[in-house]
Amino acid sequence: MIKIDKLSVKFQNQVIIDDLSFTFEQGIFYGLTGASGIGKTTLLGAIAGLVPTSHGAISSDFQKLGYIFQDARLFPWMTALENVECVCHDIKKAEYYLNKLLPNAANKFPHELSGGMKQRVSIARALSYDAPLLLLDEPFKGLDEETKQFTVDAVMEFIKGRTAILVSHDYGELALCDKILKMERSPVSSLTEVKSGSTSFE
Amino acid sequence: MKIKRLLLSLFKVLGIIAFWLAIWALVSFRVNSELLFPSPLSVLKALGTLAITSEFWLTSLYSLVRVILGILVSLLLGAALAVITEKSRILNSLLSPMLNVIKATPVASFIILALLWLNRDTLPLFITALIVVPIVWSNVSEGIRSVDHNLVEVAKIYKFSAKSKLTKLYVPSVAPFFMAACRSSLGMAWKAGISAEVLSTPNNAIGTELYFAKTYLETPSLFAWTAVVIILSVIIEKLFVFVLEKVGDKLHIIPRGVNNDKN
Repeated sequence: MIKIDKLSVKFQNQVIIDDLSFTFEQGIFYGLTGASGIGKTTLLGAIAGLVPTSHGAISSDFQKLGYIFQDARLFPWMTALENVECVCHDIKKAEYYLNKLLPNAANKFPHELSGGMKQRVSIARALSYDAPLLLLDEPFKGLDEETKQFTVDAVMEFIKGRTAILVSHDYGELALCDKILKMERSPVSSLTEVKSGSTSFE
Repeated sequence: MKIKRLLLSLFKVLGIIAFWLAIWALVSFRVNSELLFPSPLSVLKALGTLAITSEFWLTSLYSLVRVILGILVSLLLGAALAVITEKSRILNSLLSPMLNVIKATPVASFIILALLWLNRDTLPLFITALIVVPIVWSNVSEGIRSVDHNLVEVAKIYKFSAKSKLTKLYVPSVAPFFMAACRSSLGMAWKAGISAEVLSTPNNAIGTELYFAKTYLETPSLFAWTAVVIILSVIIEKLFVFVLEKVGDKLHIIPRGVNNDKN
C-alpha cells in the first residue's frame, strides 16, 4: 500500500501538486492519465523519492520498486546485458529478461541501439529487479505495434499480483489497468477514478 | 593492404622528419656557427657521445623518476581536491581562489620561491605538482559536475551500493575528463620539472646538464639534452595514457563504447 497524505509538490515556485491525499492499494494495477504537464510524472517521482515534497507525506509498504522512465536512461559505458545485470546482480535473470524483450543485443552498447531498443533494455532492467512495486512512465512510447504487443505481454505477465502505476495517454494501454485515475485540474489536488472500459476517459 | 598502409604512414613520418632536418641543416649552414646554431650532425654526435656514458642514463632516469613521481602525486591530489570541493561548498569557496592563484602565477616565481623553502632534490617534484594539480583538479571537478542526473536517479531507484555508485556511475563519468587532464598535463609537467631542475640544479638531472651546457657554451650538448627531453616527453605521454587505459579497462572503470576524449 502507498498512502499519500496531504502531499504538495512545488517546482520552481510553481505548485504542481496541492494537498493531494490518496491510497494506492496493494496488488492493483493503476493507470494514471491527464493532460500533458499536469503532474503525472511528478507524482511518480514523488512516490519513488526522486522529487522533493514541500508538504505532506508518502508512506509505502514497499522496500524496493522498479521504475521505467520515459527515456531509457541506460549507462552508456555498459552493454545492454550489463545495464540489466547491474541492478539485479543475477546474470541468468538478466539474460532471461533481455532475451525475452530484445534478443541478440546482449553485447551491444546503448549507442548501437535504436530508441525503441534502448527502451526495451530499460524495461528488462526494471523487470529483472523483481520489485513488488512497478512505476511505468509512458513505457511503450516509440515502440512499433508488433514490438509493443509482446513488450506489453511481458510487462503484464510480470505485473500479475504486484502493485503497478502506469502513466499513459494511450487508451489501449490504460484499458489493461484494474483502475484508471485521472488528474483533472492543475495544481493536482485529487485523483478521479474513471470507469474502466470507457473509450475516452473523459 | 595493411602493410602497404603502414609503410605509407612510415614514409610520411620519415618524410616530415627529413624535411625539418633539412631546414635545420640549412639554417645551421647559413648561421655557420656551432656555438649559435649547431648542425643536426654535431647534435647527433653529441648525443652519441652522451649515450655511451652510464651518467647519461642515470641522469635521464633520475629526472624521469622525479617527474613521474610528481605526476602521480599530483593526479591523486588533484582528484582528491576535486572530490572534496565538489562535496563541500564551504571548502570549494575556500580552496577555489587558491586554484586560480596557482594558475595565474608564473612557474618561475614558484621555482624561485620554492628554492628558498625546499631542498634542490624535491623542488622539481613540487613544481610538477603545482602544474598538474590545478589541471586535474578543474577537469575532474567539471567531470563530477557533468555526471548525468538521470543516471544518478537510476542508481537511487535501484539502490546502488556506495561502491557500485563509484565504479559504475561516477568513475566512468569522470574518467574521460581525468584522461583529458592527464593528456594535457603530462607534457607540461615534464617541461616544468625540467625548468625547475635548470634553476635548482639537483644532482643527476637533465635540467642540471642543460644548465651546465649553457654555462660552458656547449650548444650541441644543449641541443642533445633538449632532444632527450622531447623524446622522453613523447614516450611518457604515450606510455602513461596507455597504462591508464589498460588499468581502467582491466578494472572496468574506463568507459567502453563511448568517446573518451573530453576537452
